Amino acid sequence: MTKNNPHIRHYQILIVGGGISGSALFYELAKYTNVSSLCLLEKYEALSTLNSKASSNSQTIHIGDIETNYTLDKAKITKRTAKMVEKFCLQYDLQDKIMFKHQKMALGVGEKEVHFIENRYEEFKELFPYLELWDVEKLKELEPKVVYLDKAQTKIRPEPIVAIGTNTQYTTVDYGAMSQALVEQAKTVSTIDSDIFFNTQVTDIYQKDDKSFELHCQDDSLFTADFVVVNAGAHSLFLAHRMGYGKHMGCLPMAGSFYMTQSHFLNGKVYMVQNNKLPFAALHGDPDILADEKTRFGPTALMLPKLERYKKGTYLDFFKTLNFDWHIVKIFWDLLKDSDIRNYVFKNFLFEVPLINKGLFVQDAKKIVPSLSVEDISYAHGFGGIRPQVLDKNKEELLLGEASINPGCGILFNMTPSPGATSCLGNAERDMKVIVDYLGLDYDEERFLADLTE
Amino acid sequence: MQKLLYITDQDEYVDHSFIAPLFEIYLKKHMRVDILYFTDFKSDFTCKDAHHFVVPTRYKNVLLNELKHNNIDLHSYDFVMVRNCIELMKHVLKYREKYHYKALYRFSFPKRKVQIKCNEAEGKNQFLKRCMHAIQTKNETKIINSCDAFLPTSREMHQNYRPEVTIPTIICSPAINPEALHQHQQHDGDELRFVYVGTLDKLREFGTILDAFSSLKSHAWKLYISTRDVEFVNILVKDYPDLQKHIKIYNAKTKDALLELIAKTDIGISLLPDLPVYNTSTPVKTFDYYSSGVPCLMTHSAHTSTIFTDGVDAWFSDFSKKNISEKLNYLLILSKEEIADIGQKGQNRLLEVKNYETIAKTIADQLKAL
Repeated sequence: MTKNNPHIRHYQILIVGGGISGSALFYELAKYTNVSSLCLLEKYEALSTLNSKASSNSQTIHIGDIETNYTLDKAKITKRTAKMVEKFCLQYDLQDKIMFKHQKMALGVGEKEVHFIENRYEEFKELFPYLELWDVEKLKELEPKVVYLDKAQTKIRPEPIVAIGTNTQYTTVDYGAMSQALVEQAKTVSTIDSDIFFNTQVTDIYQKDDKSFELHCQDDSLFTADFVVVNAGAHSLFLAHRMGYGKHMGCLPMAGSFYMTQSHFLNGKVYMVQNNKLPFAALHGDPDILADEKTRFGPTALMLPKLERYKKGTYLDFFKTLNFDWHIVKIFWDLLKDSDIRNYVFKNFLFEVPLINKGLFVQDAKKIVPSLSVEDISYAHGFGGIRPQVLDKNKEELLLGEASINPGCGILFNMTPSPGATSCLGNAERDMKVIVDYLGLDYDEERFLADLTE
Repeated sequence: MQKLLYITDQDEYVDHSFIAPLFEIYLKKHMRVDILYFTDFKSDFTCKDAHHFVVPTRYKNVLLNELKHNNIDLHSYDFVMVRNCIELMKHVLKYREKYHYKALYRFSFPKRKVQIKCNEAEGKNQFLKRCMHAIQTKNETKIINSCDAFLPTSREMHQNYRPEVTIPTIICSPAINPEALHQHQQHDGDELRFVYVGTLDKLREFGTILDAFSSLKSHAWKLYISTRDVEFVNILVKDYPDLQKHIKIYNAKTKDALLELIAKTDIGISLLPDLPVYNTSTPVKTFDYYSSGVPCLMTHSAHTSTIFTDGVDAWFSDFSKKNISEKLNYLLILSKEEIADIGQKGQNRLLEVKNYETIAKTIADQLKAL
């Protein structure tokens, strides 16, 4: 409560959004800084009910070894942040509870992709020494369904294939459960004054004359803070726009859906080589840790005019956040004039059309499993989330990955589509340093590095 | 020292048989050279080192902006050369005044024309594509004529495929790398080993060569084929059941692996049908063979005939079953020493007239004179 108004709660740092990114920052601030008071505001009734929920994403730790669109430099960075997730889970004995090991591979199909995978292996094997190059013979043993044309496994697919992969690493995390663990551990390891409020939707943020912030919520509650971090997915940009920040950005919400097999199907994660023109992961197959390791194929990519999937409303928020003008038209025009992107958009639209969707999806997924048939899969109802892809109006392009707005006045806004969950602790580290610097706090870097880095 | 940015339409992982020695070694003795490749797969710009850049293909249309965005000083270049991609050339020309460089267009091979010919050889109607090709060639010529220099692989390639290009022309031909000569390994087998490396398609009429081999009475020979078109060869060889025990098919992934394979053979084959597209330059495979001291059985062309002499440093044959068969029969009675001697002479001849070291100096001198 503030001294002047007992109905207003004041905190030194306030985080908006209780997904994996907000929870990670909550944990790091509580454990590694001398913050005096800390608060997390979550719009819904629990942590991670949207994109961090295990059914909304592929549950993958994107370390950069099989993500074929990553450059070596990018993989060096993501390796560090991805390892933080692993280190956190191991530190609290969460392996085989919320973090699991699966076999994983990036599969190259056809001469061009095979050539790429073989060369990429040579380039990346020093950074990821556990990576192996698997030829057809090895794949017959490890993941036979990607090798054979028929279900009886008598005929080998005609095109050359090769994969890079491993079966010794932690690959899979329930990021929803990890959010919970992060917050619980923050409460356990720290004695600071910290609170979490659920069902508290921030509608507006104002900066006051004394440079602190006032947060207005839908239930008329009021909060003030010296520093605010907004980790609210697409709504981060929505709130930034309301404060007059990030006007050069728009948000394009891309919904991803999945198809699930009836039973255990693939032995591990199978990713495909990605087209660099597309800002989304190519179709992949993952054993689902929520569904008895049944294989989940996807995601598809469909532009939806709303910011949250499987929740009511947010249509108007979408139009406000899109920030539509001629720059946006130009970005769409540039994207759609490329036949690869045009075909991809059209195809993904058809993947959502009942009656024909499954057949069309199977045609695509056959690149992974040539013998896949419509009888093998069903639409995974309730699975899939929304990736808030950011449109940069200055550069007139669709940004790949994450975006952050730091006006330098004590507030940060983060949009963290994939691989945002993997880099949650790394992004939190970045934000924590900004906060510590701004508020003049202490930060136990030695302990942080010892706990979370190799 | 002047500085060149060489933008190639090739993928970052391509085995840069031509680029490697000319641009990576010899041209660097005369000017600073940066090389830019593209990637279809990676999402971000990469500086492999201070002189090698890899750019995602999605940035092709805004390439120079992307380079600038990644702190590449475009003002530092005296020359920007684009290989084979007219759209990129247009983009580079657009910024020529701003960054004060000379714009150069490198024309390595008439790929589109060859594709049309290939499709025609497969019986496909190419009327529309030929019309489109004629229009595109006219437009491309206009753009090339806006450049400061044109670098075709040979004069014949200029005359046959871009005759209306009138700007200064610098020939940029394939050659032999004097620092990468492989020792020929005399094998222990009694048979004579022939080798063919490179693309195989309908247009190259490889069946004619197999017909010639199938007519041989002697069985003391083997034919090694290294190609990316393995499927095509497998289908073709099925029609020659008697030859199958003589033929081994490879797909050498790297230049080193290829040269290692060649070094274990006796005679290279560079026999191609009498088509303009094959007569406008010396096939790269010829240089690969001689790099390993392996002599070559080749067809006559304006190029090969001015370099080699039949029976002295190479063997020539017309592209017909009868002629090839006669020549093969003749080669089968030569001793290994006689064959190795021809290979050595051919290698010396190439070092004399087609040597990357001298070619790089000529190119550098001509560029400086622009």
